[in-house]
Amino acid sequence: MSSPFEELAGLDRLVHDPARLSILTALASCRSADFVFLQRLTALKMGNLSSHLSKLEEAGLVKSEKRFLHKRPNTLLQLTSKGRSTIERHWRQLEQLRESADNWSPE
Amino acid sequence: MQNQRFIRFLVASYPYLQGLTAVPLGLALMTAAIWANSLHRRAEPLELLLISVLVAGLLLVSWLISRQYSRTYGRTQLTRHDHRFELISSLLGGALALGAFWLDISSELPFSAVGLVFVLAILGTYVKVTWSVRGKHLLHYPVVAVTLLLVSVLPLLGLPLWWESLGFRSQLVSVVAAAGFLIVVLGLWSHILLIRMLPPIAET
Repeated sequence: MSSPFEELAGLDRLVHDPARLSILTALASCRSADFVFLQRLTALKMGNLSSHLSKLEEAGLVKSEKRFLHKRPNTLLQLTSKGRSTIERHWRQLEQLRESADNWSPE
Repeated sequence: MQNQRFIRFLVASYPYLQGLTAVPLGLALMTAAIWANSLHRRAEPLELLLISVLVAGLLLVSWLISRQYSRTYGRTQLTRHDHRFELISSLLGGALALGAFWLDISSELPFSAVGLVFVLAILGTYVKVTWSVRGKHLLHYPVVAVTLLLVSVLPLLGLPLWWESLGFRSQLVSVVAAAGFLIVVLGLWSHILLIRMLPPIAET
């Protein structure tokens, strides 16, 4: 049986990156959010946030919709059903890891 | 990077943190209450029109502020479940408010039913937002709710006709004015929290 530390190394890096984890957690708490909100929330620069969102979109975890709102461009982002189940599973895994790390002993 | 609980709290409470939208609504309540208090006879049609235009103007300002929030802080959409809950609770709240208004004008109660409905609405919002995320940042909601509760039950606490010493002619008008004032306070407080939680973007 693997130790919690080995399990930690096996976490999905695409999801576990702090910026992407924040984005996915935020999107899991609502139906959709726009680019400006996510930028405010994560405090990432525009290019950096775009890059993270592209990775999540390529993996099929997030879908985006570009539109005009009050004559201004607006990008709406939403979790896909795969994205929702992935982030829920990831947080469950982290909770379990925390518990097993708390109970772990070297023997 | 923000932690999970903070992010969940912020997303769940974001609509309520856009506090400046509530300020014109609170001012509209206060204006309507103070105007009703100043009437010593049946209102003229022109007076009714003027007060209606003023209140509608304040509602328009609230909508414009909401648009400005979307531009500056972005927008989120509630989950379907939250949206349904919001709709049902608004309908129930509206029905309760009408019932309370009727109760307040038709009988002399030692408390304000309208005030209690406002208290219920503020506490309901607080419980809804903090239920799942256990955030501690909206503590001004219970503070404002308790203040309004005390104002609503002052006659029960041994201060009958307290509104007369403030120049109000009825408990209903004074409690609506107090609710308007507290909504302004709630809105400003919420906005301060929002600007602390979502700092400005360094690069656009």
